[in-house]
Amino acid sequence: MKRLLLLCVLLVFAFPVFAQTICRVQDQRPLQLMSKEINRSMKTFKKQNPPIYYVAYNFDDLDVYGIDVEEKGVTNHTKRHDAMLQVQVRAGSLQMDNTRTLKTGNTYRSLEIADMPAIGEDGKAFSAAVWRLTEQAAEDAQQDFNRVRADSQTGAKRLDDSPDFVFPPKEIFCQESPSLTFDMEQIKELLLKVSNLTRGKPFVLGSSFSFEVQSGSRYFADSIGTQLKTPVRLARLSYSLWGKTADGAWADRSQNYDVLTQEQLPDEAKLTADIKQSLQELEALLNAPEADPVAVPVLLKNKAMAVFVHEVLGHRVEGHRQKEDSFGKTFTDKVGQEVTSPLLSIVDDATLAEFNGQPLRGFYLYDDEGVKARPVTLVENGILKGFLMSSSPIKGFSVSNGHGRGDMGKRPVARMGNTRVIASKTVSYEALEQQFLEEIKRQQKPYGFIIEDLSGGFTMTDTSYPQTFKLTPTLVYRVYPDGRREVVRGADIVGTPLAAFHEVMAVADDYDVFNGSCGAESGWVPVSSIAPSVLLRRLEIEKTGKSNTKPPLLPPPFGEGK
Amino acid sequence: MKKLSLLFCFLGMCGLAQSAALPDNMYFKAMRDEMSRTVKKLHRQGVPAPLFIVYKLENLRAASSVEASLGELYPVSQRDDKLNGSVMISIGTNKNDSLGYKHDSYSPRYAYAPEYYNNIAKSYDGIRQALWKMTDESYLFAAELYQQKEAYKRTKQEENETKLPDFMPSKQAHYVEEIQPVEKYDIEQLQKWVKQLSAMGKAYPFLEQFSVRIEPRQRDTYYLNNLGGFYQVSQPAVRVRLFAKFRNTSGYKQDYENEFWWSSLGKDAYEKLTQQTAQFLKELEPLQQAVKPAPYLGPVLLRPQAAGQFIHNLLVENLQNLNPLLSSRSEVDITAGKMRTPGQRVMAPGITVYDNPQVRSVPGSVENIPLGGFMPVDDEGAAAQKLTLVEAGRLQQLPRTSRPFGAKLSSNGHARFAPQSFPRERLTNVLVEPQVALSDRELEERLLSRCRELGLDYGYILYDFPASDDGIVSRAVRVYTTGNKRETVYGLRLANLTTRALRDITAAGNQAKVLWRQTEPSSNGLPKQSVSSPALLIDELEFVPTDKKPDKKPFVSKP
Repeated sequence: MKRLLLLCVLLVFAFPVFAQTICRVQDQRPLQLMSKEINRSMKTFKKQNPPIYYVAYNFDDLDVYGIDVEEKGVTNHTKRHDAMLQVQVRAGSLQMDNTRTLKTGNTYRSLEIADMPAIGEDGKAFSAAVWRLTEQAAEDAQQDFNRVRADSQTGAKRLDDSPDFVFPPKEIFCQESPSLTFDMEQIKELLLKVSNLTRGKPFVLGSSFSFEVQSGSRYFADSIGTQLKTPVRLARLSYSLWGKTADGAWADRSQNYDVLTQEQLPDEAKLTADIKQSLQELEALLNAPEADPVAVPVLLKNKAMAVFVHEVLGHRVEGHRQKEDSFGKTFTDKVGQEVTSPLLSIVDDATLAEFNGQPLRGFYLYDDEGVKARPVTLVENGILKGFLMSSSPIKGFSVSNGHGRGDMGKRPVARMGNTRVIASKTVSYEALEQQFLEEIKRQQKPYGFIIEDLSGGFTMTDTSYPQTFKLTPTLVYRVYPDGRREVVRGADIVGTPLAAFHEVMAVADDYDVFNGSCGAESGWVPVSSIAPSVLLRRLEIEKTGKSNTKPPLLPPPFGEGK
Repeated sequence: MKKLSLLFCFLGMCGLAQSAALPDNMYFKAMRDEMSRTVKKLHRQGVPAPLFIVYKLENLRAASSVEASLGELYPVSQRDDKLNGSVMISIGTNKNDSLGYKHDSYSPRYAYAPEYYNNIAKSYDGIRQALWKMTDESYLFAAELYQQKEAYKRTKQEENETKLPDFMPSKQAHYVEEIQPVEKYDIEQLQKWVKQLSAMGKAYPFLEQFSVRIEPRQRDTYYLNNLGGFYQVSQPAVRVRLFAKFRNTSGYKQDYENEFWWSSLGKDAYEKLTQQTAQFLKELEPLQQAVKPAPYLGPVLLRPQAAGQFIHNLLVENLQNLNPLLSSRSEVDITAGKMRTPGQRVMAPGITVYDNPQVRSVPGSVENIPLGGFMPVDDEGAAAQKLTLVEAGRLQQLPRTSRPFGAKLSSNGHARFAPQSFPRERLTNVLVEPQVALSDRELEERLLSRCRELGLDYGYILYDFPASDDGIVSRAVRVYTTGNKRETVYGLRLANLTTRALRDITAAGNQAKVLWRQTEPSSNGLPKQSVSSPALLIDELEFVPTDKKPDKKPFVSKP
């Protein structure tokens, strides 16, 4: 089962416009050495049997700082420099190469990666490391291709027999990355101080307070001649609080702050207020009644809608899911047909660096296959227009649109960047909520739900399983027709994609951003989703699974007697 | 201390409590306070109260490690100390407690192991919080174990031995040493060293990689139990790793490494490192030109490093976990050592083997090589005693814990508590001492002489010994009986090794080497067990060549 998770655990950020300093690819030593090694090896690679027809290197050169705090103490504190190389090698031909999925399913073999020594004066140690990794990757690619070739001779014809790869266009680009600077000691002190807010709260079973910064450059070079240097700038402060009900159900509240400067961080007063609010919500959740399975009107608040779009539609319009026969292909043949309410248009635009001053985690200039990012209209007024494409063509879509993404060590596939919902007609949030109450009455339902916060969920795209989704709200209100509301727990949203998006009745004008990390075949990638609040005529709610273990017998050490 | 004494009286253990004060630091304060709360209040209706409670904290302290390959540095990582903790609870009575039984579930979560947390917050509050959660989970686990063990016992007939009490705690001991700050090394200096040392590999063009890594480490351990035992010890060490990758002339990809430990980097450290590196590189040339071996059955000379591993595989592993765990899943505890009978003939005469948890380095040695098994108080609070394991070829004393088995009931302080296991019988610093010690040359002459007797053209000298029963020897040299000819071989695979080989030791050398054993993956790379052995001449070992085919030639030559 392919479970595609979207979790708001990490946050990446990129800056809209950098102070431009002169940056020339020909001056970049990593690019020089990687290109030299490509040129040297390709001469031989092409003559092999099977031929190795494409090589690409991704090299991350990043400074990483992280601190984690709990209970007035540091649990983890790291400061390191990451210098990591990844090699992508393709053996065979554009039509059929080593990356093809075998008829038994699986593949997605990990890519060769390695920590790299410094380049130094002569670059010899670096080049030797590049060579070593390339040799291994080339051997792996040939072995994989031989399996693919054997497999193709005995397997059934694929429904979409598009080539396995299309050469990306040659690109030359260089942008320096000004390093991020934060007062780490001050942030550490702040985290230590606010971590004490959980003291005397017996319902808090655990908590964590973190800050992480990644800053540096990403280099890409391939055998087409593409040479790229792009910036990586990420910083996030976050906290999480969790507890357990007497019957064993977990509940949690968390918050993230994505920033690029010290000034953008919440000050102590703001952070304290937010944590206190989260503590109140957590206590309410732990004492809340459990939701019952039901199908009723639902109001998805903007951030929850952002996750909803990502999970329910976004993953199903990723290009490779239209190609592999193991996928459900919900939308494959629906280009030009209505797939959502006509109120909605959906665009994925990784070139968007921020939205209303909020940094977008899904921003990037070039994807992990060296293709320039560009906006892609997926749905226009409810009509499906296209797919997210990597360099693996599909029927009717022969080139990449800059969405080939993957974590280090994972082969890139089509993934989302910044997924944006745009409504053709909106109302104020207050009017939307009023409409929600009216709809509950109209349907003569005892209540409806407002989904305030969604941590993530998964969608099943494999044909072995129903083409359903399941989302996990973390804060849900049961709202009665007279407007009364109460927190409930244990309510998951379930449904099927084609039906769900046609249930959209009205849309508010309160667009907001959800920044998260998305996990799929090609690993974890930073993503953002922008959406307004929406009213859905009906969604199905089911119970959340819970553990059978009770909370600890004794109260926390500092919660006794409270 | 008043609080602690009260605690012990509460348990009816006043007589066992030590008069020494607990160290005055955050770790012991947090352990003491949470222990006190646990003893007073942790009791679930229908479940026996905790009988034996153990808290253990390990502060894994790391200075920056440095590494370079072929003259260029890898990025330096800096990490703060990492605090890990374990909690063990048994319930019931001394006669019938919850331990000694393996949980019925197949899930690794339910292995015979204590609760274990990584990355505990380094604050009083953080430690209390972690201990609280681990204590609760540990108590519930003990309750499950207790019920399952009782149910299991009802399905079996009681043997004489099972009439022994489950738990016989010893007089509780304590040991406290001052925790020193981690030695501060000049990182730039160390970087310069590894750059220079790894650059020595450039003189060997066949090397695809040659890296040198220096890792200063320190592990501080804080232990407290509810019977009055406690200890605080610190283990500093510096790990040096030399690593090379190359292809031999027959086309096989080879990795070769040498790892050694020092107590600290002394004034002459760089000079010694240079010598070690030069020696390591010198060993690579014959390895690169190594020839394929033929099947072999005959005498083998194990150099000290190989001898240490040999002793570990055949003797140490059979002298640990001696009291088999009960289990409804299997009547055989595969983790239990087989040498359980004092007086049993286990080795050739002329070799004495000790286990000495009280020493930090090999007695009489002037080398800067620490022993990993220093443990003055064991993990059941008993004073750890030096044991004579083997004398005149026969098994003498066995490591014992507070869980009696066989004829002797009392512990001799060899209970070791690990993230993967509740306390069981473990060895610490195993020291192999021959009655007659020969020089390297004499040993080699003995080897060749024995080969001639057996009509063999050559014998083998091994510089390392495989950790697994069918492992490959990294460095093996064939020594011919005529003409002083020597050949290094590759792909020599161990075959049919049994404990019989211990009785085939015919001679031993006069220079021991310390082998560090990694017994706990989570111990910050600092092993908790060492074997010190001289070279050993074994009358008969069997080897076969590897079945592996040569690797493909590189597509492109090294840049």
